[in-house]
Amino acid sequence: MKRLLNLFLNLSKKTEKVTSEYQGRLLFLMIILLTLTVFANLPYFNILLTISNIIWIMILVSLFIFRIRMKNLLLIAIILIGTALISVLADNREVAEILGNSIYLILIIVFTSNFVEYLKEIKKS
Amino acid sequence: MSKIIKNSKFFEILFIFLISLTPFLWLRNGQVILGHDSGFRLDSFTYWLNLLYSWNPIPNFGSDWSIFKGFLITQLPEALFTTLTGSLGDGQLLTFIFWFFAIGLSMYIFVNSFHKDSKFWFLRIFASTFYMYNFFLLQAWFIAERAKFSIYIALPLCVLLLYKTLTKQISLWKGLFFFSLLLFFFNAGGAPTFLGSFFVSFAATLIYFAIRNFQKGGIRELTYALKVGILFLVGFIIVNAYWILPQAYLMFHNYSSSLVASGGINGIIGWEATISKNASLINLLRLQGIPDWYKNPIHPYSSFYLENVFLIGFSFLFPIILVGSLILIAAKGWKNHNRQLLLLILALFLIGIIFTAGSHPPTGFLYVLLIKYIPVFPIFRSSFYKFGVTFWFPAIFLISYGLYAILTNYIKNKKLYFLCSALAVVAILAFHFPYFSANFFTWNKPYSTRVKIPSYVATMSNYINTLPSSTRILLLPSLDPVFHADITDWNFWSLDLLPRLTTNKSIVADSAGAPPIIGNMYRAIELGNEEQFLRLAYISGVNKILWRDDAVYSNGTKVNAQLHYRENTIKSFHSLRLLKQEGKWRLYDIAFAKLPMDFFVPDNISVNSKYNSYQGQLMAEKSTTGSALLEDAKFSLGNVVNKQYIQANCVLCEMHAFENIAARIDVPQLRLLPNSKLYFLVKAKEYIGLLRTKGYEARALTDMIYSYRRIAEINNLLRKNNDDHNFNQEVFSNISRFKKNINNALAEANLLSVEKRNDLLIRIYAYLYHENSSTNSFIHNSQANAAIDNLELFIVQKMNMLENTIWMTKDKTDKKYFVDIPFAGNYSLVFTNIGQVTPSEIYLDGERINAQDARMEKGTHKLEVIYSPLENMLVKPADGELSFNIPNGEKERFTLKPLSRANLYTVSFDYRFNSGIPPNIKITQDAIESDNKYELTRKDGELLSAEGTWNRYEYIVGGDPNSKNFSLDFLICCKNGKNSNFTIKNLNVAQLFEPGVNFVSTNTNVQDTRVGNISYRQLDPTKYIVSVHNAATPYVLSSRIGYDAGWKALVLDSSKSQNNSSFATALFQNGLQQITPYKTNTFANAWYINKKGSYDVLIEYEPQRFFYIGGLISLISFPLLASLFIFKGKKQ
Repeated sequence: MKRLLNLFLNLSKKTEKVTSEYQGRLLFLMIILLTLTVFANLPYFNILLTISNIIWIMILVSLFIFRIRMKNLLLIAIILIGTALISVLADNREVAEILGNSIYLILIIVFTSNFVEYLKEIKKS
Repeated sequence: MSKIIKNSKFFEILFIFLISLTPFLWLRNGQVILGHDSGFRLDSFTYWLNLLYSWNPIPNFGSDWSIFKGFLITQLPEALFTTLTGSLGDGQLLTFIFWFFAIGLSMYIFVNSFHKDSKFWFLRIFASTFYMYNFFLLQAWFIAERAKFSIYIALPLCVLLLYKTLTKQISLWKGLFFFSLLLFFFNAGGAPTFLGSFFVSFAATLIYFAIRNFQKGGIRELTYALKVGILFLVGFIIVNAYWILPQAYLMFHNYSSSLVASGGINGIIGWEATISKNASLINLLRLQGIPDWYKNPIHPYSSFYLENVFLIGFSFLFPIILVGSLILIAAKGWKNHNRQLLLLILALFLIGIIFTAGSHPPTGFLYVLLIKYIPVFPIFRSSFYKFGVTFWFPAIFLISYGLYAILTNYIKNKKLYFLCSALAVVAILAFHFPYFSANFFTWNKPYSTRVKIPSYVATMSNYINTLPSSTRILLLPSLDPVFHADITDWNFWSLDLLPRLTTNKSIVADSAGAPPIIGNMYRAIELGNEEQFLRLAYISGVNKILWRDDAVYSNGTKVNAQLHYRENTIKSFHSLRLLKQEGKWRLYDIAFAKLPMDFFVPDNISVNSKYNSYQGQLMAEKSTTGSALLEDAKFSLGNVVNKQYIQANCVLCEMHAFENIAARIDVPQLRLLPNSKLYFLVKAKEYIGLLRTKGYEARALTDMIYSYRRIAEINNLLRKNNDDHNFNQEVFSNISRFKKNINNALAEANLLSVEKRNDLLIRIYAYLYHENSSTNSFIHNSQANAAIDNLELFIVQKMNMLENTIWMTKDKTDKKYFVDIPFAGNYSLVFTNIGQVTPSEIYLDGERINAQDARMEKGTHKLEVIYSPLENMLVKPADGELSFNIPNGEKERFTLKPLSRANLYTVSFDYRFNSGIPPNIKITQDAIESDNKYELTRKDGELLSAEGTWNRYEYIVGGDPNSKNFSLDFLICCKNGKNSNFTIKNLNVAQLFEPGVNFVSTNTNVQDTRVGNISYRQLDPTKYIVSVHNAATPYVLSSRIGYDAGWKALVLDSSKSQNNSSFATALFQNGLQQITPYKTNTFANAWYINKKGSYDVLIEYEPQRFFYIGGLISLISFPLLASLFIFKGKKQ
């Protein structure tokens, strides 16, 4: 019982340490999302701020804020591909399309990041 | 030799060659690919020789085919192979193997250039195999789309050459030479639409290396990259000048008319949306998204890939492999990979997918913007087909490389690696199994591009090819009325008519866009009017008729008793005799007393506007064999014109004309209501909109759009059911603004000319009609009641005012017209398309006039013609209201008089449904089989509306020539015990009456044309020399060559000796005035020549000059590029 309690306490301490690091970033993300949601309900703004556009913006901002590594990003892409497969098999084409769009966005980010690094290396050499 | 064989790459190439032999499975037992858009001909070599000329005399009266100059190279293989083998089937087989192998070899060379080592054998073989076997290419194989294959082959090699040149692995001049040579031989058939994919990839590669070079070496390297780009483009242009120059000419002369014919920008965007509907990114990542796969139950194989779980799962392996390999690289670094190349290909992949997806979201808005704002971009209206190459090439390379990287990283055992690699190659072939089944040629069962040509077709075609070059053949029966396609009972289907693919003579038929004279000839046969048919045949130069028993219509109608009456009709013509019969084809000769010549001087010249919609009828009813009806020529033209026809424009004469105008009015979309805090934005936008709108008509229509929006806003406000004072103030304010919009629109209308004002008032009336209907759904509140009543009264008053003001036809036999008279004088009236009906009263500006001689002043006039009553085809006319209570299973029949096959009839009545179930209406003609709806001659079981209000029913029906009994039935379709109680009134079946009225001014001082005689000789399909003897007056030289503004006449100087060879005359007839043709007799060219004496006239098709000039440039460019390569390249 004591061991279980200690395990729980250690876990909560670790979680607290991790969440405090990301608290500010999460808060910022929530503010962005809230702002976009408010504007999405206003006339004329809702033409541009569709759900899929908001998802794209949030993905981009999250990637920037959380500085996700390329490898992890690509792993997310694999998961998205798998989910898209399930969606297609379940005949939910709309979800599959949204996932496809997100995969494409990830590939653009990967290309941009790699190309910028490549150019930096050329300049150095 | 042994060295070659020992080299393992020999076996790799051999493998690619072996898998190129798949076409052996496709063509068996004499089958060939023909029809649809395949473009194959029975005699490929003669067709290829004719491609050297910019004028194709075969379709109808001839047409420009400068756009096909690129096929001189692209279709050369089939011309050679067919000639060598002496057989179309064998020639096609070799052609297909050639293209298949070239596709695989292209990717092989690309991969090999970067991965030469033997360890990359799997990458080379897999990429090449995948490049040959994929669904993008398969959808092109059903018509063997050689133009697409051409750019598909060129693209990897173009990227390779650019890469090598921009990274200075080869010299600029070497790269330029081979790049130009490559694009000379693989020129996308000279089709600008396919070259779009080339330019996108070219630009992307250039930009990629420009950025990279700039980083590496600054401005100097950037300049080098730009130099490469410009020189490569110049090289491409000069080696292909032989087809680029003629197409540039075509583009400058015909682009806008082609755009209009495609439905304008909105029509193109609509078509593009249809093509891109399933080109989502997820589908493209799986290398699918082919437009005709989806919602197409008759597709030969798509259902497997859309429904089979295994195949769906397999398709997802492609993006998984691609992303998986990127993970591998991200984890292990770029050390063992060509980062420069992979990033380039990834860039092409990402850009290519945007263009291939077209207008599909999320990037579709970019494509739509390009269509709207970039000139010429609308030609890429089928994005998937035009840009797919840009995507498929990098996608296949990346997936192949990804698989190679994964296999080499995780499988170290050589034998296991070999096994997995081999399995991968087999798997990709097996996944694309439709390649081996060959059923993909059946694009719409039973129609296939893979057919076996009956022997009689070849025999008759060979016979026709021996006839004189002046032979012009009319096809019977007429083409399928739905698609204007040529369809046969041996499953041939094509918009390109079969005899045009198998013979070299002019073949005339009612294909899409055919001039009215062709329709008139068919109608004359329909009526059994031999005189009219012979006259029109003489004018058009038609001297043969080809009857084909194997013709079929798209609804399955075969040539049988239903259509044989037409052959019986022509057999009864005295001037026709059977010349030859082969199987199901019969060729008839038309015997003219005097043969129609290609060039003649008409003795009777009339002029009219090109917008005269009654030209066809004037030709059919008023022409003579020696007459010419010129378009847009001046009445005063050299005093040679006898008559001028001026069309009177009938106002709202066509059936449902007003309803069609009203249907185009959109219901306004509301974003903000007047009581919203942000409503000032709406007001501001409308204010700015009106300020920016130019022209009275546009401003008036803008006011009407806003007025309709006011009504919608009022409707919404009232629904909120608020009696608050401020709220109702908004309603009052909106009503006030509504009235202002209407009054403004009417004021703007008054500033227009008479006819335009009338058109605009009709449209304003249509808006008021909708607005009046909308007010019926207003919810009244106590405070706003009076204002709303006032609004409704205002609308009704305006509608009544307009009804009394607008000049429009309201009755079938009381037609109203506008006519614009160009100069004061005496005019007579000519009526067309009236049959036995006669005009009984004619009023001009309210005063009665005589049809034979009316004095008219210059300006716009109102014409009213009251015709004699149309015969009611009901045997017992139904007067007043008739009520029926039809028990279930029974019918109420109205017998009709025999309907003539020459006319169309309208069946019309008003009806109101009372109780029970609504009735069905059926028009029966007794000789027609139940599934035969030839020309919609009857109506089957259409259900009438169940609404309790009065409705109007109108339907157009044609007469079946083989039927004897005709009736109109009201009946109950289903035996469910219920009866039908309904009332009808104004029941009428009468001839569809759309008469034409022209005012004719006759030139009493016309000069008699005096020309001795003329003779002519043809130098080639684009050039004639007409010898004119003893011309004493100006005259019009008319022809039977299809109209095109490119046909110019040049009067040659008889004092100088002329070199009359085609090439010389094309280049050296400078300084002579070119005479532009008029369109004559709705289809041909005519030139006004004001020169007396005896001389020659050169009639040439101008675009051919551009081909010669372009050809010279192309010829000179090769030695130029070669010398640059040899001398400068070595230096470098």
